Amino acid sequence: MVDIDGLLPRVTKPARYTGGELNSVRKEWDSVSARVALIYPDLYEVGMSNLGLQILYDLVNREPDLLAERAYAPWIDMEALMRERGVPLFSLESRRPLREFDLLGFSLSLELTHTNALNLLDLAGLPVLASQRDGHHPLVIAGGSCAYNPEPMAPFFDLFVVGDGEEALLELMRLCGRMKGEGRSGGPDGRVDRNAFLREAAKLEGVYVPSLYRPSEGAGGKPVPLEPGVPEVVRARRIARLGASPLKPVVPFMEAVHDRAMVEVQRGCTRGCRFCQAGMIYRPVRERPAAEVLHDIDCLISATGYDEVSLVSLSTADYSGVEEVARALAVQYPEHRVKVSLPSLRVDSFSVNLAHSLKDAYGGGLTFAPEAGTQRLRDVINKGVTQEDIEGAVESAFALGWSSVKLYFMIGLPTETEDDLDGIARLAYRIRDIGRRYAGNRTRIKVSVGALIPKPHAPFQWCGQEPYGRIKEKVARLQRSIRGPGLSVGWHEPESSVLEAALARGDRRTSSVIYRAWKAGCRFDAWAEQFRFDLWRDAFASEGMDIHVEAEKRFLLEEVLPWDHISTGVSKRFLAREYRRALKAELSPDCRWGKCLACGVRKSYGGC
Amino acid sequence: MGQRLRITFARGGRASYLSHLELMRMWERAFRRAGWRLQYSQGFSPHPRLSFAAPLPVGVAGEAELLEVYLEEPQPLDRAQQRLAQRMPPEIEVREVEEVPAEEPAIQRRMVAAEYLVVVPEGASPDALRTEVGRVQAASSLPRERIREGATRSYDLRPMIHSVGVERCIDGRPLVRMTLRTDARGAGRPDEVLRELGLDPAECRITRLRLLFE
Repeated sequence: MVDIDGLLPRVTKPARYTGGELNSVRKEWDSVSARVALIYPDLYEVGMSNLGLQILYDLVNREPDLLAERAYAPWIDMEALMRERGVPLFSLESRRPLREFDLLGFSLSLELTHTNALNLLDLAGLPVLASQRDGHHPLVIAGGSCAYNPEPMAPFFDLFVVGDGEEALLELMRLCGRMKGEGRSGGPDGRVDRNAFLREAAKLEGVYVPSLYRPSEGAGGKPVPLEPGVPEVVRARRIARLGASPLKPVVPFMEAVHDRAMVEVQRGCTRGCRFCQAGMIYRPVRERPAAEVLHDIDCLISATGYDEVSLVSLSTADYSGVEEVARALAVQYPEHRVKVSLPSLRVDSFSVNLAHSLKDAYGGGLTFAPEAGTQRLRDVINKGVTQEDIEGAVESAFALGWSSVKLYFMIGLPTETEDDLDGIARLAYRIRDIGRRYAGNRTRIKVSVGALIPKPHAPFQWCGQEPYGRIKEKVARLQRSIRGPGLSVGWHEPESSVLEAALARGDRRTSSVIYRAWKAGCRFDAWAEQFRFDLWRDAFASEGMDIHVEAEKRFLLEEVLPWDHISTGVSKRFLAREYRRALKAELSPDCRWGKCLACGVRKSYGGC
Repeated sequence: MGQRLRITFARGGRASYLSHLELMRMWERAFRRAGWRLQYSQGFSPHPRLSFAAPLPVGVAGEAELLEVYLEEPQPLDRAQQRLAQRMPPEIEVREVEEVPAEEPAIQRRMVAAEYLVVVPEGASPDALRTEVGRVQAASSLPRERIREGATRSYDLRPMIHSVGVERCIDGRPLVRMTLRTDARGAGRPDEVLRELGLDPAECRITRLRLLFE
């Protein structure tokens, strides 16, 4: 056990490191066959808001023979103290050094946490390169949306779990426990034989073991299996049915970013927005019955004491049980004693009425994402939202008492013209006019702008990000054209969006850049005060690359992509078709309500 | 209608590092877990009627901390404590729940002092410590400076110290016991006293033993 009592009084927010929260699980170390540390490579308050890790923590700890503990990235002050005093990274529950665990399981859901992941391995006392680790070290694994393009992080991890992690993590832990029991240990501490384990693990669906592949040389191309039995294409893991929510989640003492109970109501989305990675990689849509959702909410409130619950999904208004859940909650918790939040609001009056029935109408503003300013461009991205939908949604919002509306737009979309930008301004003024009829001078319209970051496995994966200079010009144009009482334009995207774009569609060569950037001192790249664009630019340059070229690079439709060895079930042919339709501004309907668009998921997973 | 309850609780170990705000949120959730509905203050942003006798500094354990809360619906006292204690984080313990007449003045206004026990770091010499304590006791004033929100403020620590003394050792580590003024005009900080004694508070284990009322 690591002694941190001398450290805690010297750091900001010590509750990040203490553990001891309600519902945290402390198991007898020697009573289990395999142990995993679940790690989110950002601050505690960010990581604690991640539902995926909560689900895995709950699942593993429900098994009597398995154990899961947690670790997060220490802030700069704590890291400095730990390094100064030789304190290795430890788990919150038992305060054991992470290197004592069998598995270290990282959640990689944002490219801007990559350097933190490397830093955490280093703080744990492990070589960051998998090739330099041996039988003395835990196996280092990763999941999350970044596992869908594993190459940029491939040299640092022993394996990736692509897709739903619920079953795969338990299988990996059982495999580890079994091999240890059979005495097939390679290391002196009774650890498993790494190579034997990885070979077995590679047979599990959704598992990608980089060391069993020969990386492609130079740019482009995909890794090739080194031996028979290793799949050429790793198909993302899917669970057929969503299990119960974690009913006794750990309740943080300190305020988490999402400080509320979370119930996943559905996974996957079929709306088919062409910029959206999540809408492609989590198919098919899997819903949970309303009765189960209500039962979970009830248990969660009494087990945690939260006064707010979030109905989590990519598009909760599309969840078929949403009205039933809303009605039942209004009866069970009158006077909004439990607030219900919807993480994403569809742009229509149905969603507004739903939001109104779920929480106090005057609490804060409402956020909509029309994404583009003209109908043509909304059709390009397949947003499926009309001018009438937008006006209907905001009119309902104002009529129900809201006076503040936030509108989210993306710029740098393919085929975008100046008229599309002016369309954003026209829409903002139009919505202010509607608002003034209800809220008068209290009307506030906040226009929030972000740049498109093309991501793997989405139809826009072939596009480049718009040059940073052009993005800045476009934002300036919007700021000039949208001004006046009650109007504001927000642009909170620093140069880190360029980095995110450059990393997201990277290949094996990108890993050397990430390694260099970390060595140069980069970490907490998602935190504006820590982000060092200059160091990143230099890191790319040292590897013979240009960060802007990487962010802006376009792939040809016929080119082999660095993530072609990972299959989401959605076919490349479908993505290409969607990309071509985008350029012609042709809509593709949501297959949930209409005919099948043959995205490939039904064929790949035998149903959808 | 309604009910005013006084809760005596202890915190130690990992829970010692909670800030006052974090502890307050923890209690709000504890009451909701118990199914109790709190009364809310009137006004533009209503907040639950919940008050502590005195905030505990971060890093300080407490043996008998006091908290008062106003409930919408009275709870039977015999079951209240059990209900509350059922779902608490591991190192926060409900010691007692009692009913308080509504007309009694607020606890924070009746507080006069707090007693602390400090385990000082290994290697600190008891004799040197006794000398330091003697100096503090004999001093008529102890000017100190505190930096708060960037501004340096000078103040006299001496009138905040009612008593301070060195006690027998545990495992070779001397114990310092002190009673510090804690009232509407201000609270003596145990870490400041330790610094005055030449100790590093971060290396000490501080426990607030009890709160003293007029």
